[in-house]
Amino acid sequence: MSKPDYVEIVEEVFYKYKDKKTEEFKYLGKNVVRWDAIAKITGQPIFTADLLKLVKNPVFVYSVRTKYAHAKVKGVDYSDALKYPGVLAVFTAKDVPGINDVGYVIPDQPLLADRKVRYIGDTVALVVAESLENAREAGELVQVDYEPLKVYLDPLEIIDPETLEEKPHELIHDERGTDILTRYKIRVGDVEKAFKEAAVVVENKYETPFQEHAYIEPEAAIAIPEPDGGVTIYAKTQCPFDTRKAVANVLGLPFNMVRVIAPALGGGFGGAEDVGNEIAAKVALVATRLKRPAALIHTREESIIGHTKRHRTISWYRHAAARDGTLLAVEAKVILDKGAYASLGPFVAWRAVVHSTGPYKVRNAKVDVVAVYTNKIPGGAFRGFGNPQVTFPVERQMDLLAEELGMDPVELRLKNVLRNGDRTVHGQLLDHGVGAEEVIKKAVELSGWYEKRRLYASLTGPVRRGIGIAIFYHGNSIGAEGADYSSASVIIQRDGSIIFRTGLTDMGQGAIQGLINILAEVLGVPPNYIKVEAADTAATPDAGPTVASRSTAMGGNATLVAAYKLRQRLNKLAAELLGCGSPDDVVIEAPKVYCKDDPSHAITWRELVEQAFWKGVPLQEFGFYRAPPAEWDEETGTGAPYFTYTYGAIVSDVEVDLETGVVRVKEATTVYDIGRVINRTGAELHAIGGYIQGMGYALMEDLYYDSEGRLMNNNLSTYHIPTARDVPEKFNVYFVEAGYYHAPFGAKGLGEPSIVAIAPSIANAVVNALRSKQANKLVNKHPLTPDYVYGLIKKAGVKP
Amino acid sequence: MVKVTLTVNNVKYELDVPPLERLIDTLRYRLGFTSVKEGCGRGECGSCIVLVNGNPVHSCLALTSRLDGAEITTLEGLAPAGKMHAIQVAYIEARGVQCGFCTPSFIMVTKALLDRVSDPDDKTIREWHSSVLCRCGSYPYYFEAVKRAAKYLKEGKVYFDEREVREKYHLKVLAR
Amino acid sequence: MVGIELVSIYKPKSLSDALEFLDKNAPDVKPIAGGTELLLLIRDKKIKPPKYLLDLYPLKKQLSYVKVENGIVRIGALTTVYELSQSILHRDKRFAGFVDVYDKFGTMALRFEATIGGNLNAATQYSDYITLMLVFDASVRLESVKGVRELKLSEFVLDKRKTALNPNELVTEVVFREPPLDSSSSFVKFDRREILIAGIVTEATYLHLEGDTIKDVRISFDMVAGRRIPARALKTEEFLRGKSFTSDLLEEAAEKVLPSEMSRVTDWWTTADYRLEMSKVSLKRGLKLAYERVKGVR
Repeated sequence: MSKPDYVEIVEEVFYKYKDKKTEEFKYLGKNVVRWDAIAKITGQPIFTADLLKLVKNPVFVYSVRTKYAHAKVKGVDYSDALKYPGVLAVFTAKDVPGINDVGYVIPDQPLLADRKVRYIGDTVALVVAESLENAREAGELVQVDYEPLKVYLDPLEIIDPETLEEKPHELIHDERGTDILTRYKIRVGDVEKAFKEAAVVVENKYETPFQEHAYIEPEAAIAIPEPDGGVTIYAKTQCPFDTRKAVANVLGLPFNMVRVIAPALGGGFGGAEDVGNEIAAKVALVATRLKRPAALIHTREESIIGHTKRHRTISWYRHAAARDGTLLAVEAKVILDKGAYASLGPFVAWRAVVHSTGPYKVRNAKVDVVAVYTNKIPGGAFRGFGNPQVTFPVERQMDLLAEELGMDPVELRLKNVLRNGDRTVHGQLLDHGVGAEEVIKKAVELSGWYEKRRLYASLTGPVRRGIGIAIFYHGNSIGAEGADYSSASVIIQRDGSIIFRTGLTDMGQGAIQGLINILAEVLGVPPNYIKVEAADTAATPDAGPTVASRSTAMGGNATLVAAYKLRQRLNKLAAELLGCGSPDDVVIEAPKVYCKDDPSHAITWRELVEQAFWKGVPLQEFGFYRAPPAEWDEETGTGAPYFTYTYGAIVSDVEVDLETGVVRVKEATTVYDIGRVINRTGAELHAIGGYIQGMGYALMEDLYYDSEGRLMNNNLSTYHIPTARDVPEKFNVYFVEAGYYHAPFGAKGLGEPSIVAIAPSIANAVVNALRSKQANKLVNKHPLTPDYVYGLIKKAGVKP
Repeated sequence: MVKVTLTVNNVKYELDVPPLERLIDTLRYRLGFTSVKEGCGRGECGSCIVLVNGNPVHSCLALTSRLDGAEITTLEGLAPAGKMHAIQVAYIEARGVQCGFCTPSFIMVTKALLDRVSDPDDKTIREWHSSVLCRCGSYPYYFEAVKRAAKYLKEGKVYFDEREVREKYHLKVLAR
Repeated sequence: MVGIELVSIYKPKSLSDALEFLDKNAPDVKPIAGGTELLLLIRDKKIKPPKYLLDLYPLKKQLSYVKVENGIVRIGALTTVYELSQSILHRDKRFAGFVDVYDKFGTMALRFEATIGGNLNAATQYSDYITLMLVFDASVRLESVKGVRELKLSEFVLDKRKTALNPNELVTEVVFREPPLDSSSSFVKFDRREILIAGIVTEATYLHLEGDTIKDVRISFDMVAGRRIPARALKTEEFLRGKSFTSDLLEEAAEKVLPSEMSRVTDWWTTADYRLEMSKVSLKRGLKLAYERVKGVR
């Protein structure tokens, strides 16, 4: 069977430029100013809520949320709310014309609660009024008759951590008959035997916290009813095509009657997946019913209780190694605290199981990952998507092992890390493009690892320094989660300017710039010829979701395919016009186009475009790419889960105040193998921005609930994220480029990877600062808050 | 209702506002200055910072009714029409812009800082920039932008031609 | 917010006009200074919107100052935190505690809005200027149409969000005696991050030395016992006074004396035990910092 042309194009380009250094390209790997920078630094109305100024006569939608974390809903009386000034309507579950569900992966989440509420955040009714204030006030008059049920906040009340069996309890999802959402496993080799033969075994229990995205733009959505009965929605959503599907389901409309436009997003980090669907469905429901534009704008507090979080996890890990440090086996149990709804939990759990043994050669493994419902804000997508939760225990375990073996943590990792020609724990052959060893070596060099390990070991006094490393790998794109495809369209205009469209969104991460760079490089035009249209289900091709670090690799492939085809046609035409020996001899350095042996005889780019127009050479192209199929055996956890992996090594250098337990990061080194640097600015911003977000996860961020399931820290003074004054003084950033042949010029993703190993690197650095074997074992969860660190300093008997 | 006269970006507005109307709502929804963003409504995120009589102020905590006679500057008014302020150019060149939601406030804080300290050191920049939260983690790039802006201003380069900046970094009208 | 449309705002022409308005309309009136606290209390529904807001901005010229006259430090109630930083209080080592409070106060932008009077009136354990000025033994000046009275800060702050201010009175000034030359002060506050924090504990120190002998000392915390408002650690002060400043002494004060007058609470943020331990550490650090400042080492 022959390969599809798009696969051939991507491979051809990869091999053609494989040995070309990134600095030799014209636009690839350069610090190009992003396409939307000027709109942003001039304060243009580009975010959803800004667009309200363009909308006449809108109504405002307020979500009345439950005050109980777990209860039966016996009735909703909104007669008083209807009488409140300015109130136009109140909608409840019975008003949903289509399917009352916005569950992302499985249909377990009503848009408007019907029989039950399952966490404090579930919407019971929508109040619609002439002003947001009035809608909010009237919301307080909605009377709901609840029958409270037992509230479950700890997954261990629901699952037995020994057997992983479900305990008898009052079901949160009675309709499913179980509160175990999903189970994944790996069964490879003979774990029992390996443990018996091992020279060293280390084991520990670990916990990772919930994390709130805390994007600075709270959610907003505006729906405008269309004359044909359809609806156009502007919403904060990462995935407009998924949002369209959700809205179409709720309204009972075909896809082509629902148009979703994703304007600029003020941050997403995965958080703007489900909630985008939910808010879009709410305003669409109102707009189509009242035939008026409908707007919904969340406050910070509504945002925090209203969108999903990074899952909290509890895990138990056992590692076995030979005396020389060779890893022999990994045994693990990981429980994901799911919160009230599945959201993307099944996929998160799957990514967790795939990465559960780290970027190491592991021949024997027994891993179970279970996602368990609780009455808390649902866990969902968050940059890293299950991988940070397993990388923390794995990388802590490696440091426990290193200590047991008397090895340097770097040496232990180098001994076991995956290299070209190795197989992953799932049996996947990594035949090329594995830069794991190189990232470790580079990080060690840039951070001054060995000198600092020596120096810090001799420090005394109440303030200690420590340095720690953590490494990881991260499967690119969605892998075996689903169909993995992408697309893009390029239209060259009569004046030579270019319109670029893709269904991938920009939530601030800037991946679109990578696509522009690819397009510019291949066509030979400067990036400032190219205009990017916002993702719009009516105008841009479906490029799959903007998730999973897939934009540069998957979107980049689609862009590359479109650009390649256009370039072929233009080369052919230019060769005829200029009399070049072969189309391959055509050089486009817009505005100049010439044959490579005669630069003085040139036409302009605009002339070439004009000629193409009159000669009927199509100036538009549609690029499509479908990833090679992923394989996964549910029984054994083997196969080829992702087509390729990003590798990284992080070194953190911290200061620990032994008297207070306060930890501050002084210097950070991040080295990533991203195949090929396509968008250097974006890559560096991720290497640093991802670190800062990961530092928050490591040191300060967590959600706190009271016993009834109410979130205690629902604003930005109680939910701490790093400020300008918390940023480390120094960053060392480096990219390894071990190209991958199914990606544009070899490029791999960095969006999610940039947070995966930050927390364990910081935890390992703290342990190094404490210089205590007991502390090594006690550092088994984060955030490493001052009280937690202080407590373990005391327990371990570390003295200033 | 309270009658107030505000000068916003050098234009005088006579308004009748409810006593508790927040400055952010006046600016965003009454007058259409959308560079002013609401991220928390509690003076925590700093996305709504504007200059009131030259001071950086959280417009979500300020009441319009109390600001009779005040001079207010938002990002839209940082440079005259057709121009771009050196601070804006510095922010483009420092390459720190990601989602851009907090960026207008960082620029306004930078203006307030550089109006007072022409050559701020790292510690001072961090202190002033702690006024705004950035979840993308662009902070180090924004520190750099302040230094770049300080340099431009010292060299007497306050305003740049907007079209030139646009063409240099953004969309271009192509020569025939 | 229910009822916000009923609120009206009054802009006084002078201080006496403001006091008359207060007198006439109390208790249905709330004075508003920087607004950083009051508007949030209304938004969070922790207080009912008042019938009138008394806008204090018109009094800004009159009530915004820092003066040292005849051995008395006077701070106008409408002085913003930023304005404090531009005053002598940030230039003279005796007042170094002001620099410490400023460094951890809100964020830079909030310091342009928040006023000293507003911070004192908020009367919570997070009112860092209360904690600080307790160690300067400060008093607040309360004015009404009936006249003026001065109250010690410790008598002014009664409980969380509760002060001795009568509804017809306005805080116009905070005053304290200018400390002697061989004295200094400090303030300790830390949390998970550097800024925009409540502080796990906060502590303020005033230290007057004669050679190495502690001639006088005052210490306060965000809370000491029972009520969640800043208060002095009087027993600890008593223990330290007159003794020679040594690290053993600090240790003894922290471990033996302070716990006898300190009681802390556990909440979702952290535990009482940890807060007690950090109270000890803060005490020692605050004293040491003030000591080094007197000696000119810092």
